[in-house]
Amino acid sequence: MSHDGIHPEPTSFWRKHVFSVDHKVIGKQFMWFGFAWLAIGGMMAMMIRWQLAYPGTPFPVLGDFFFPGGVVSPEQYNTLFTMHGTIMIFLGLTPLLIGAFGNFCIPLMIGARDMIFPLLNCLSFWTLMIGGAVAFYSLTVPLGGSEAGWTGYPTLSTTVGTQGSGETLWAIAVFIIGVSSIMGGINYITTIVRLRAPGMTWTRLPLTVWGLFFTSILNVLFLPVIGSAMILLVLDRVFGTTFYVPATMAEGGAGDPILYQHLFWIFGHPEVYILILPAWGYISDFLSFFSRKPAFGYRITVGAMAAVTILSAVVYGHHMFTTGLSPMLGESFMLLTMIISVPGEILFFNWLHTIWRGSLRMTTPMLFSMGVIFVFGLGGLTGIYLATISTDIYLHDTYFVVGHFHLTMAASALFGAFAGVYFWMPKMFGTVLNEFWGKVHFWFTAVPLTIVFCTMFWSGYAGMPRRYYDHTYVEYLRDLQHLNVITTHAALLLGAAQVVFAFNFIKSRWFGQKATDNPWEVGTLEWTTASPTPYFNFQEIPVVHCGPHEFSNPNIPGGADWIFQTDVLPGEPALPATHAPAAEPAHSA
Amino acid sequence: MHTTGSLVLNVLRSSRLRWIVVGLLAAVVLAPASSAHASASSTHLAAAPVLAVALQDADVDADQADAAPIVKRYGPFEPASSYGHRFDWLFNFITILISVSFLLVLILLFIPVVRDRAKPNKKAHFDHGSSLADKRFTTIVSVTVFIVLDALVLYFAMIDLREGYWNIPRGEDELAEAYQVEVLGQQWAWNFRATGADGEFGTADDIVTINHLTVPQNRPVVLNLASKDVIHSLYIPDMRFKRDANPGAVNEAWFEPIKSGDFAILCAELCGYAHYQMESTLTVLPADLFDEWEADASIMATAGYDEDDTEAQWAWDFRN
Amino acid sequence: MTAAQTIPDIASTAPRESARDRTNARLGMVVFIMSWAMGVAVLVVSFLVLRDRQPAWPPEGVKLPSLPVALVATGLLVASSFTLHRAVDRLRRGFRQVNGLWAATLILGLVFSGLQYWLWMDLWTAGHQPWAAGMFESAFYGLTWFHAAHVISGLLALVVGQIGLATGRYGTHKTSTVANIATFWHFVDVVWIILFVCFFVL
Repeated sequence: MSHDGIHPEPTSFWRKHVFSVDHKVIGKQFMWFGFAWLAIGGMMAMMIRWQLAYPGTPFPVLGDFFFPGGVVSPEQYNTLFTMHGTIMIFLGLTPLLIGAFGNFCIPLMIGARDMIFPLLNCLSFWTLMIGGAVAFYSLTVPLGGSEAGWTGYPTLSTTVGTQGSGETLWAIAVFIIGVSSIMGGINYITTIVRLRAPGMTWTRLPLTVWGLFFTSILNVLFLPVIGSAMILLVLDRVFGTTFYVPATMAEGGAGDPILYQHLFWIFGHPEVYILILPAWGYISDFLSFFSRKPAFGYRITVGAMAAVTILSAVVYGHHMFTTGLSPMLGESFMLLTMIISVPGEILFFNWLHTIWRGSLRMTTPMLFSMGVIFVFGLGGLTGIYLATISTDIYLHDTYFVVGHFHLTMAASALFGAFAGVYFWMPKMFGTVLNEFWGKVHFWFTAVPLTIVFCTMFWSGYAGMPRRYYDHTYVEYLRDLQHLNVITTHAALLLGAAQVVFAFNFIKSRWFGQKATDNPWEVGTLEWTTASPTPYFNFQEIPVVHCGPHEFSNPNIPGGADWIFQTDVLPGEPALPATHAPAAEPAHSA
Repeated sequence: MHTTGSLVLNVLRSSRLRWIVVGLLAAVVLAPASSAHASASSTHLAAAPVLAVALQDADVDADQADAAPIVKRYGPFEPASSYGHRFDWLFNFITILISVSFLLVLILLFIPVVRDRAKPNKKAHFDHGSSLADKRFTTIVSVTVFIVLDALVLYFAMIDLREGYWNIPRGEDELAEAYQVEVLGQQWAWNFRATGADGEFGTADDIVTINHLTVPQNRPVVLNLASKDVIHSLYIPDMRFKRDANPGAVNEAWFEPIKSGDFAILCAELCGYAHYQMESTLTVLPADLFDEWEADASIMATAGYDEDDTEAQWAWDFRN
Repeated sequence: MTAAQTIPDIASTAPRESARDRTNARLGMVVFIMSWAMGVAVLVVSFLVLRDRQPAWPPEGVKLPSLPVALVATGLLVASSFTLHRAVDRLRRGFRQVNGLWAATLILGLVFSGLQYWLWMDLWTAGHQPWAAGMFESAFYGLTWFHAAHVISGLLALVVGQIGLATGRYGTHKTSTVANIATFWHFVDVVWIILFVCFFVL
């Protein structure tokens, strides 16, 4: 029963493709799951945008299937944006960024045969599947799905504000999804700590693994917080307890709705970094890979990510500046939020320094990585308005906030995920995504996306509140409707661009050009094995002799500008004195 | 790798052509928007028939609803409160700071893209960036950026908060000078309660209004906000004012109108399906007109006071 | 890949686990407990914050469930932790026979569950249902239900352990699973002590 060794290859269909314990199969399952939900959540975004630009007009083509008369009703609109947020964060980006690439890349990049707890890995996916099913079912219940926003603030999310089982099911779904993420996190942390190949020291880990490691720590520590908050919410809704129902309510009670806001954001702010840290990790690697230059300041980059991980726990109050925080608390959170921007600045600095004087190969993963710098730069810098209390008071809960968080946690994470898909496609499926359509996809995504969210900055600055069913109802906002129209048109174009990706992905997956073992010419361990990866990952557990970014090292023999991590750099000792724990034999009789 | 569509790829590689593509994209997105409230242009009709149908509908609605032309707006109106200009100034200040920073990032991003493209027999500069000098450089840059970008903004924000948003009139003299209002949010309306002529809450002459608040010009307005059911947020864009109304707790806030006229009050916190309909009006009257109005309103309030209507007696002790 | 057939280290069905396996499994458990402790901490802190808001504690008209019964229940649960610890310790030191100690733990856990049920009924029949809109009822039922869910999971795990020990699946050759079950049970124990302090001592 050794966890290090590989379980024998299954032969039955179910064990091979459905209830597989193989990290590669599970990674692909997470990937398809994430794609499916991104499509659903994206379609919801299109419906939201359509309603905002042309309120009261039927949603084209699909409207009749979902809405009476094809027109979104106010209740359905609230359900749409609630579930859009929940789906995109918990069922779209998390499975794709962390589930798919975490599972696929961690064992391959650290030189292991599988995750340390393969069965837990399988359970994690199927728990997520149950969570997704509950979330989906919540849309179909008689009184409609959750209508309290993805933040689910009480008392709107208690029975005071929303009747029916939709909201309860939403809370249960979030809890189940949280459990799944915790399982994944336990697995990732333990795997990275215990299963690194001989010679794979902490400073030789690819930055991808570092990003996933920090994300897992946040997952493990902060998902239970939202889990507990959801337990209390479900108790309030189902058993009539009053954790979140205050004393002055008509029904009476003894709780505090603000408590939920604290709990939610103690989780919610780290969640932003849960989504962005893997993307940072990926692009830190990709920028180095495709600049053919070592990642600038590897240790500083890791330190900055660690600092973000720690600081992310103590800045959450900036979501609550208008809630009624005491001035002292408010100012503390403002200062801490300003401080968390420093590691972000350092990352930018290192990325820009990495590509400086490189030898840039402008492949699609590289384009998307640079796209992250662009959109995260835009989103991160506009965060200064929102971290500053005196400007946030006006901008809070307007479209300015929507633009900001979409650029930081949605667009950046999505671009990171796309970069990952284009980059690891050869290793995952053995085929190459078409580069031409990849570039078309990038430009037709990046340009409309920038227009969508920058227009939101504009309308939010002009005073347009978010979560409004119909801005033209309000006289004050009627003269801003043209901005909504621009946003919607760009959003529709953005949605259409994803069809290009879907087409490219499906075509390349089954009919694409076969990939060579190392098409990108990079040295991390996953490229030392065949494409697609064989069941056992590595013929023998590799021994690591150098870091992941030894590009253009003048000592590399033979005129190449890269070496595998398993190669020995001339002039360096074969193995350092301190090496990974796997030196101990995997099996003792 | 680069076998498929290499011809088209070469075209895309040329940066000039790429900008033409970007320009075309922008044109496609922006062109229909410019005609959203006017007549839809024929090119747009040809380009996106689905959009065009909706646009025509929207036009018909617009014609029926209101004949007055809508002047497009791209920003907030001039601030109408004493601290409103602080927001505007700091917003513009941050905008300048981050525009410069972002431009810098873009320049540093695009120089390598243009200059450092892979060429045969060209190797990248080998540098791990791990030397002491590099670390020192990184530290200096990040500290500089923090001071310029964050600390400066922090400093101005602290001043604004001390002198603006958090400078709530609290002392008895200050409160006597201020105009006190209790705000009770509910699904989906704003209840306002002012003291009336006697200066005390919970009496017969309290001026209680729904969805309409009248306040004096050039006097601080101190608001105590709470909610009956779910969380609401009182949002007065022209006053640069926003504060949540929570059930079970009372929030304090203030603003001082320096312009008279009617202003919009919105709800900024999701409060159910009619969230968007919580539109109310704030009327700011010059001091003499306001005194007249207050006297009249108090008399009417006393006349209409019903002791048995407990629902209407929701006043709480004003916090100060 | 033809290479697949020649992979040398297919997971052996060898019954004996290595020290490395044990560390792997224990580390996973430690991470899990750290994670779950965050969830418990949130509930307890939330309770303390809400309790602090109440004008009086216990609120007027609330009769606390029987303290002696709660004390006995706590004692039993602590005792069960001791028997379990002893069982795992014996296994680690190479003694094969731990079925008795393990079964004693299981029985103590079951008795605890019975007393817990009695405590609920004590409060329930006194007219304090969870929907009574008071913080005491909300917190007492909410937190003890949360704990009870863990007791049930723990008992199920103990049953799995018992069967495994009886059939020889676990034993001196493989202690990580039983050790992890024990860790979880200790965790459940500690959570109960915290709840006991929250409701009966403070």
